[in-house]
Amino acid sequence: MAASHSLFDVVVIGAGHAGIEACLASARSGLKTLMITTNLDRIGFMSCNPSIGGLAKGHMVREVDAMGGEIGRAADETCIQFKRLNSRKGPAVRGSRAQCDKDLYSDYMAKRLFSQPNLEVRRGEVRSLFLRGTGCEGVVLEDGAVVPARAVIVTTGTFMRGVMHIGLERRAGGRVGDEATVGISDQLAEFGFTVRRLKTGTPPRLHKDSIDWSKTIEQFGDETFYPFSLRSDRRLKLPQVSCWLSHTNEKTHEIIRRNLDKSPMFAGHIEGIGPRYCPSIEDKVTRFAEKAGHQTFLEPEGLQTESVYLQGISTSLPVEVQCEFLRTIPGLENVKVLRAGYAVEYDFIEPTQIRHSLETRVIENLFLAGQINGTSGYEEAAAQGFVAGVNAARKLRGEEPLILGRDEAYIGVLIDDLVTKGTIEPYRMFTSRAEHRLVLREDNTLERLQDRAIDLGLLPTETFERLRVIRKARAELRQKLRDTVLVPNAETQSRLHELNTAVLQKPTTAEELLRRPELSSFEVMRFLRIDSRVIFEDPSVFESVEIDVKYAGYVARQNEIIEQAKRLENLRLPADLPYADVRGLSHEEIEKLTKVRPVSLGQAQRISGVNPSAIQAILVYLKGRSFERLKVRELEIEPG
Amino acid sequence: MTLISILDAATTVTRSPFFNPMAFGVDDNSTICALSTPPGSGGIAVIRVSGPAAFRCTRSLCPFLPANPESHRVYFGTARELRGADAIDDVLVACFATGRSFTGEETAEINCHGSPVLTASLLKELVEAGCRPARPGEFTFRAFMNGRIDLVQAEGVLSLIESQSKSAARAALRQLKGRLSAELSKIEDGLVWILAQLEASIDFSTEGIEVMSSEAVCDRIQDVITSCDRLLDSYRQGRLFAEGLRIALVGRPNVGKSSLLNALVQEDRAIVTAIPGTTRDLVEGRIMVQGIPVTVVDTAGLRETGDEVERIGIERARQALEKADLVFHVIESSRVLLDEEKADIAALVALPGNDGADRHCILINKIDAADGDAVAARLRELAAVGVTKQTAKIFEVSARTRHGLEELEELLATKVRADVSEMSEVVMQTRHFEGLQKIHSCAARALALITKDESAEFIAFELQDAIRAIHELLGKEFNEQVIDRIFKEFCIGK
Repeated sequence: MAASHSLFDVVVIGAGHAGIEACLASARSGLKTLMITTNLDRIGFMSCNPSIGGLAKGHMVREVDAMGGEIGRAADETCIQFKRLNSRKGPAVRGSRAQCDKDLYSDYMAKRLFSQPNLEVRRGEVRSLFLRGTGCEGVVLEDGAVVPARAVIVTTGTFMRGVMHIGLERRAGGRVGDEATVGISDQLAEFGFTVRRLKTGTPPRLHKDSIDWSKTIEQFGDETFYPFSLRSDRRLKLPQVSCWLSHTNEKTHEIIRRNLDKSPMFAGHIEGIGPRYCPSIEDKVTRFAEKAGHQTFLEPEGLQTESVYLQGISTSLPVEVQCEFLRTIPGLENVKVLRAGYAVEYDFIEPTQIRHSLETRVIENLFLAGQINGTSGYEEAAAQGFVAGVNAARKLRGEEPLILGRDEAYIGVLIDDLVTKGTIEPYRMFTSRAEHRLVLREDNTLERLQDRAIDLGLLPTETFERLRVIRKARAELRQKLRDTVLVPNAETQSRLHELNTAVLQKPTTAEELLRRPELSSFEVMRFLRIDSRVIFEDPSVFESVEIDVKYAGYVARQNEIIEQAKRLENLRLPADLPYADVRGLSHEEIEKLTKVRPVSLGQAQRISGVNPSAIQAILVYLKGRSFERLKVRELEIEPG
Repeated sequence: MTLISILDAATTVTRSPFFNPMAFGVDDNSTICALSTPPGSGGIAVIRVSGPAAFRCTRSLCPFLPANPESHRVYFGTARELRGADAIDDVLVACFATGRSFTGEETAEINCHGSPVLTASLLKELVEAGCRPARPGEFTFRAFMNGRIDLVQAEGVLSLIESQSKSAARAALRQLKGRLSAELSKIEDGLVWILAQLEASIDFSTEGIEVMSSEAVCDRIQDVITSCDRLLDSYRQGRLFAEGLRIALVGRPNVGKSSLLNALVQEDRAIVTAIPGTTRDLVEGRIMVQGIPVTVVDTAGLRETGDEVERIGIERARQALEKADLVFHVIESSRVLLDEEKADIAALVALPGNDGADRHCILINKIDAADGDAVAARLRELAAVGVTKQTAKIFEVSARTRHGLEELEELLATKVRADVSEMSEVVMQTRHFEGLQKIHSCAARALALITKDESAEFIAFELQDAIRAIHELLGKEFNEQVIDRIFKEFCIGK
């Protein structure tokens, strides 16, 4: 068998955000891992916006970190502005975002990779996968050399048959400065995979000295830093910078409209579907013609670089048109464009062809992660890379794959959505995609994933020790709130009065007091004369307790819904279920179910185009079958 | 979402095996046939044949059918026995192609003359030709399985089958046609719109988009609440359609309640004797008033008794009294009112609104056996406890001579008319009622949260819960409609 001759257990193609996590997870699992990339200078490169996290994305960064991934630490280390989005909204929808120094970020990741035991990083171009029968047994390099491996993870991002568009010009490439990859997607298509096109775009980069900052509005970062990683220091390493806000106007829009015929999108040069949540400025101006202005944030890409990222203005108009309309934006009257915006089209593999483990359904030991699965975003990529790396290792060791539930992590929602529904546009995570959002919070990430992390064993023991300390602190604080009883004496009442809240009618615990929506935990703590240093030492301890107490009712209701949903999730479907024989299914339903091969009735229900009557029909079929064969148990596997 | 719970609910609510899939064959490709009109004699009868061999089977006794009959066309000819070819009846056969029939399968409907003998022999011939007799609800089950109708519509069919009156049939028909589904979908649209606003404010808070003001959101939630209220109100009416009006006859023993029941339903339902306490359990009679079934319940006379059986009967009488839409308190014209009678009547009539004088009427019975002075004396006794013709409905009746019964029937008709409004959607089933109550309370909580300026995710949670309840009612899955709506309405893009 080839495996015994392999120098490597796992080969990872690509050194982007998915590739990095895949390599590290695999190598940290103890497997000999090889990373192959076309460009050693662009490891963990931020091809688009220079930030990590954001709404729902911040959640995933914390989740990857909690199980032993690297993205959170890299973001913490290289953060030059930290913000917690939706900080004034409720606990489930707050999202951490770190703007990073993109060069330092790349450096950090490169260092991690090069110092990782069991991991080798090589420059090279993979021409094709080395397939034998229906198994993947390595890769073939451009010179024809075969690198044998027991499993292969493909994380090629936008590079597969990548085509860049600026105006009506187009050329092959996955990113400015990097060549496209050919071969793998053709090979997969030949193998019967459905390969389709997506499109994404990036805005122009501007020279910081050519911007008149006085005409823009300064945007500061937050005072409090909530590091993504349990392993990071609470103090920021780098000096913090501001971002700057400006707006487009009618003049800008007029120039764009006048030049629409030169846009590759409007001229019909682009077949790939772009993301609706990240439309180009051409799109915005056309589709929302009534809007007089669109906001744009000017974000420095690092401490040393002159490059400024123009968030919100992704465009693929010709360079001279870009320059013309940019100059109508306040602050950019004399702007110097370092690099024009462009659109890129690339191949992706319809993700309903992979399993929850991210292994492809038809080729064994071949895993796909990141944009190749139709997603967009560093965080989405990192999450998949981590899962693919872990699962390649687990597969080779004969262990069950890591499959996170939709009620367990945003990563679970991400992967289940991809393999169940597929995607027609670049898939980005939103909090609204998680039906159990109230229990998937940033503050309870550690609790949610602690058991998984222990099971995976990728984190050093001291991290678990730290985790234990945090959980203990939380439990103690919780207990203190329960044990402290306030009596309605004159002093208590007058202090409550000062805080604009009702006086006590009877002795009341601090916990009950905290349930009053008008009181923050900070106020209650002061009330209890708890040293405020306790609060600032680790705000997360404090906050998670507050959330626990204040929103207990909603969390309980959410948990009830989760329990209900589990009834269908626990109805497992046999992998060989002959849907064509199930009476009452439409042709469309048979086709979709056969393609997706849902593992549970719950997953079957989430396939779009599969109607509830179909779910009932399957249930009827299975019950009939199990009665026939007296195998009722088939339907009752895996409680909880 | 929770289809299992929908199925659970459906099986508990309905009495037929409709939602018990095990009652039907698995992998069943058979062609089924059944009489689709009520059994017994009538003008015409319709036999429905559904399944892959519907045309072939029908043709074997209706040879006049062409090999490939046109869909939605009616063919006329003589149905004959398979063996012997004796004529059975002249029939009309309506043909429906696969995908274009109620069940979604190839279907033939044989219209014959409405005689039980004829229909029985036609069915016998069909079975001989290869059909299998359908089980109750099986046509509807197949329609549901083939995606022709949703859960609410399916229940509409059930109500239609089970409805006991013409009005109920009409309401069920409306439900079948998807009017209730449409109403629920409208509520859902409203909720999805609000949810899109909230979700956009959460997921795209940094994009500088203008989300609807919380006043506008409140207004829209209020609209949802109002729609729910309207549908919930119609439940009472829906129940009226399906179950009819209930009238309880109550009073002391031997005031002639049983005779009144018999007079009202014009048949001897209750045993009438002069011995007090003869009626020990409930006796029901049914009349139709303007298409609505009216059930009259004769109760055991209310009195303290040592007889165990009678005591249970009295307890049941009290329950019947609570459930009734109208309560007739029967008193005797020629007997002085007892203190308990006066107290009972006065207390009940004095209750507010629908619990009081609107629901409780006093019937002075045996008017034929009393003179005017006696009746006047009874009225004075009632007036002494505050019950007069101004404050309550008082009727002078005689079960024996039918005096005053016409007035009573007129009262019933008025009550029926007041409760039946043809225009509104009618909520027929407990499942719908409970679902709507859930939607209502979620929306009300969402409104309260907005007023308290709580975070959007909790408001969203309430609205999602409400949408989930609608999907449970309609048997629909939750799809990406909210996200789609966001992109339609807002300019989003980083």
